Amino acid sequence: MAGIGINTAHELGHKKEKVERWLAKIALAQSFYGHFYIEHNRGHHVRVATPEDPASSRVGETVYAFLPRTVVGSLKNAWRLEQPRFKRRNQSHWSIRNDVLNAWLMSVVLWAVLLVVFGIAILPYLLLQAAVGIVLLEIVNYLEHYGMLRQKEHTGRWERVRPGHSWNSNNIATNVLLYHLQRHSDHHANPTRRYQALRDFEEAPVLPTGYAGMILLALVPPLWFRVMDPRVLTHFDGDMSRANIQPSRREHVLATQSASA
Amino acid sequence: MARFRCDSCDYVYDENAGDPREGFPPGTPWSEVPDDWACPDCGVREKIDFVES
Repeated sequence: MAGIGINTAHELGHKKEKVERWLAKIALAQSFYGHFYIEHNRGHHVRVATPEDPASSRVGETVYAFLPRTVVGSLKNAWRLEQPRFKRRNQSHWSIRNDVLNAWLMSVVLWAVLLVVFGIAILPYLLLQAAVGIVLLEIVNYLEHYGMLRQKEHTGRWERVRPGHSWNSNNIATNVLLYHLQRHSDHHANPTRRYQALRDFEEAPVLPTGYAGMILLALVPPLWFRVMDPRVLTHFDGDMSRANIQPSRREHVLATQSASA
Repeated sequence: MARFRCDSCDYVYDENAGDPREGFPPGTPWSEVPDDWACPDCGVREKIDFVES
């Protein structure tokens, strides 16, 4: 439930109409992950496929190392991203208009109502479903961005996000279930495009199977690396140094993943 | 007063209207918007990518 809720929230959170963005926050409230809406639209989409983005996974990084990094990093970013809006007008960001705070308030209210109605016995289930929702969301982030890196332009800016900067999957069953989230390449190049219109691109790297299979694979890091690292290498035309690599694993990855290997 | 459009998603910054939600009250000139300000709708493009419309 939470997984589907979060995915629906993701689609709605990108739409321009205020009502749809509100629905997105309500859907995230059940998982206490309302700050995702801020960090995702204004953090992750700005810095995707760069070492600065906590939600862009790196070659040599296991999903178990990625999860804490992305959860903590996203939270910090969301909080930081909301501040300039208030600073410009000399207002305190400790405000109900702070989207991080009002999203959490919504979670508090929702959980309080559920606890009053169903009793304290429901608490373990609430915690479990929130954790499952968050973990699923972040594992999917792991699949969608593994190793992808935009190059720096001579001006010092990161190049514009193109479809070739995120993984795609064309598995039909999961695409129907997830509103074409797997057409992730086009989504990052054109985030406000509605899901029905997302296209497949030749330049986009393609995952070997649907998200369900890829999630299972990610849980077994040695297998994940064996399947994915060569695909990352191919995507970068045999030059692994152009990929987003976990700094502590850089030498190892470059030594084992080269065009001749 | 001028208008500036995001070249990715068609969001428009109108100096007359400003963007109060982003912290720019009506009448805030484009020159006062910081260079690293990203489009609030798509997040893909920044101020210097906007085109006058």
